[in-house]
Amino acid sequence: MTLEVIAMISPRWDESDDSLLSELGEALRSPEPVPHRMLDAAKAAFSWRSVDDELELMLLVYDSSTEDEAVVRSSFTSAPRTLVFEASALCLEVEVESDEIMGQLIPPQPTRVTLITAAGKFAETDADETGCFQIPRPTRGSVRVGCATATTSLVTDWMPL
Amino acid sequence: MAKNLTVTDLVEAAASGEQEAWNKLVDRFMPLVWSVTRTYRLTDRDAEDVSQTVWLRLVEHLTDIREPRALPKWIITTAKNESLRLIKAHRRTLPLDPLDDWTTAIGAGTCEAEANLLRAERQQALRDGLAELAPRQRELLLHLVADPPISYGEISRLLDMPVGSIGPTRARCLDRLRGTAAMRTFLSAEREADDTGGDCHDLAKVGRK
Repeated sequence: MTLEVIAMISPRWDESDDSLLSELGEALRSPEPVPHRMLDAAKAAFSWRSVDDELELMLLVYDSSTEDEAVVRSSFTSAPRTLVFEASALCLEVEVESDEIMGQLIPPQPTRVTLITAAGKFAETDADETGCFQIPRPTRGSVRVGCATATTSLVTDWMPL
Repeated sequence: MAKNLTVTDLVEAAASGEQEAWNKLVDRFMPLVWSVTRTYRLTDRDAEDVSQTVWLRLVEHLTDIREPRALPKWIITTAKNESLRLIKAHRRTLPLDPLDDWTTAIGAGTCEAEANLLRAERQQALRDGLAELAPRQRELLLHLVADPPISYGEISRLLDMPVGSIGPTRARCLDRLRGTAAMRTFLSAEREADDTGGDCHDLAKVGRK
């Protein structure tokens, strides 16, 4: 008997009262409680709303690590992960190296660059006249880049390392 | 705050800055994140990173969620993609036998993983649907699924309801449950997937009771 046939004759849980009720019972008896630390951290994440700090959000538009697997599979040489963020007047391209993040702002302009983790400010630096910067990174967790130019303050989407 | 707020209410309240609504979203949907990380057998440390990614991303995009009822799906997808990315990243740092294709390792059990994720989503829809019901309906269903089981006689006494009406009321409550926004959203998305689904989906269906 093929899987398809079995699937067709097995009772639909949403149609039979008994199977719906038994599934409900299972759903309510979660096998393993979620660790408290995870719940606390997730609730604390709410304080990171950029809208509260009147920062413009630079949206993630490209991440090489989420590209098609077929492409990644063929490349045994591991190129550094590249991400691109965009806002209305500024674009940021970063490369994630093993111990630092290299970035370039387009168009180049004097910018104070901050690397932020969920725990707060991790490192700070200035972009050079070509818009380039290097900044140390933590080994894991999510980070975002804050950019203060002469006219505006922006922050990128979070990027998990 | 009333107990049976829908996910749409919670997303709107959180988007307007209510921490309390955000906390309720976390409490309600964290089990989904957790079951995704269990599905991919991540360590607790990696599971914490995945969870952080999901919630930090959600907090920034609360205001541009177009369909809040699709949030469970979004959470599963985000947690899944991030889990797979971490697995890939770890494999890359291990001394690798060139013949040992890591994609095989990730691919192994993918259908099983998909079935797990679908089950997690279905169970979330059931819990959300239950929360939408009127308190008395919810109470009856909770008694009916109690473990160890409670007799109809005992339920009749607890709820002050004639034994003979428990059966018909049970059927009505279950119909209400099917008609909740949470369940309708899940079932319609699932029917859509049925039409386009591949082998994994059939396997998931077989796993269904």
